[in-house]
Amino acid sequence: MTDTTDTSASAALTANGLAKRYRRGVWALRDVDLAIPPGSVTALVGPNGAGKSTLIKAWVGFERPTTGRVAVAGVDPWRDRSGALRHVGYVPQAASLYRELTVDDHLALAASLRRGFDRAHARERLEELGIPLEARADELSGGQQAQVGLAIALGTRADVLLLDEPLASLDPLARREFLHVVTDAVRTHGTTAILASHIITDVEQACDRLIVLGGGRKLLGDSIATALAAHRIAVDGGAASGPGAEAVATFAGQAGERLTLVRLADGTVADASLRAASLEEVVLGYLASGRPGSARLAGAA
Amino acid sequence: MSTVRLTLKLHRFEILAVVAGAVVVAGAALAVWSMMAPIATPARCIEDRFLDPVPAECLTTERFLELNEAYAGKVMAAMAVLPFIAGALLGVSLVAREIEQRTASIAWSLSASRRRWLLARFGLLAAILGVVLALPAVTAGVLEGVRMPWIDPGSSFHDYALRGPVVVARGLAAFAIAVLAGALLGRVLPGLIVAAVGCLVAFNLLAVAMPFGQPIEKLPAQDYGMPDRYDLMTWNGPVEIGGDGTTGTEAFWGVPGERLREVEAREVGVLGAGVLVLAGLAVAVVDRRRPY
Repeated sequence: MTDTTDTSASAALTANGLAKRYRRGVWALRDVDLAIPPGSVTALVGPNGAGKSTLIKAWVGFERPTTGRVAVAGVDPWRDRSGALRHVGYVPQAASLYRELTVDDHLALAASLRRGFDRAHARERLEELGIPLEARADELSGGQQAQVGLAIALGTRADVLLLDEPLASLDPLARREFLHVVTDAVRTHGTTAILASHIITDVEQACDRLIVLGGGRKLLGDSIATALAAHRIAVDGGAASGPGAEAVATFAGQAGERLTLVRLADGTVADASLRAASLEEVVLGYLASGRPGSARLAGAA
Repeated sequence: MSTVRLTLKLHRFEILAVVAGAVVVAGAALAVWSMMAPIATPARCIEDRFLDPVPAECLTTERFLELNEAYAGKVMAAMAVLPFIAGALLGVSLVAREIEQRTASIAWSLSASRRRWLLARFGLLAAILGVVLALPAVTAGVLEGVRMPWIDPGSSFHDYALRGPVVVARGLAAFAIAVLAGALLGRVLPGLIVAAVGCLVAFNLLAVAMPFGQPIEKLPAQDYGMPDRYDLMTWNGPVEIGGDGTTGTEAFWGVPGERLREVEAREVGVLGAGVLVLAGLAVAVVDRRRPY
């Protein structure tokens, strides 16, 4: 597996030998090693059941690792939950708002639960987006509810934002607004953000790093720029391997053609028959490599 | 302040239901009291009402007994279930609904201490429940003084636990059981069912533990069952005593009614300790469980 993530001790988020098995015996995560550098926006990509939510929930302290450990700003949430949570702003998969409470009540609740919660900051964010503070949560659209969740997370002034597929149920405009707020927060405050998502175009727009999870394993962890530079696509069995190049996996293109994702070693000049890979193709290639039996197709992946 | 306001807002339907139930039962107790008080009957009229002619002071005895059976008895029957229903209703939603509606994910990711999160809400709702249940507990005591004019309600076990501080203590115990059941299951309806079963088991065990270490005395037969005295019997039936001149149904073992307050205090103490233990267990569960 490709692994060029920063493993320095100053990482905002880490996972070391992380594995999680649920009671029914299913492994959600296996042997995951990660180090997310501070100030980055990292996309966590993978199909349903890949372990994205489990990984995020392990950092929030909701899921206890079966083996290995996780840390937020160097603090293990299972050993020092309050110490770890001080660094975390979390937006869960579903909006998870109290239906009976108004938007302003939610901010008041957050202020009562989190010391140092910046209610004015959260309010300002919501007012900018035209979300009425006196509206009850169940009167808001899905996009507005997601924005309220994000405003609460931002109001914590936490240095790490963990966003567990908040875009899944949003329309394109709401997604764009949401991502704009996230990237703005990261740029302004140097926040580290993890964004679990299925939607590659959004990821490309907002994130600078990429982690691909498949079957509970990390298949790729890299900066997006490096990932794009280091991969090419061979169409219909073209020069998928050669000196300094190895096939990751083969998968079907949109027109039914057979595409092979090729990983180039550092300094390798790509064969002229290979074309540049899009981020979606990089992700699809690694997801294909993670499928059972994919080794036959994937070669070295 | 926000915590209090928001907790009240989040649980307003349960609180309203509990307040409504308590007010209805308390109101009914006072209404029945107002009907019975003017025709309170002396103890001897229980038998003298059959005399011909009926003594003047016993003319209203039949009506009094009718009211007692038709209304006062029903109020007391309501008092038997009110603390459990109120406690379970208020308690189960505290954690279970947060988990069921997935709001615990937000709350627990914001709160540095889930223990503090739970105990603040537990304390507030328990205080509300205690105050609300005190109202029917007091009015049921007032009604007891009228429906049994030949006894002193303060030194009689008649309608024990259907009036006075034990009502509040039992309600709080049911509340704590329901909080724990809700925290364990994370679902409101199953939590309610388990809380109901838990209350049934817990209060049957409590009945076994009665009279909570109070010395049991041999009570002269003429005292037991007479209208001026109700003792807490520790057996369902008479106990045969041999060798001391009393046999058959001549003597019973029990706690004299004068010790009512001591027995009540002990039960309140036992239940109070139970509430603390259950709250501790609920904290332990909430601290370890997932918020979904």
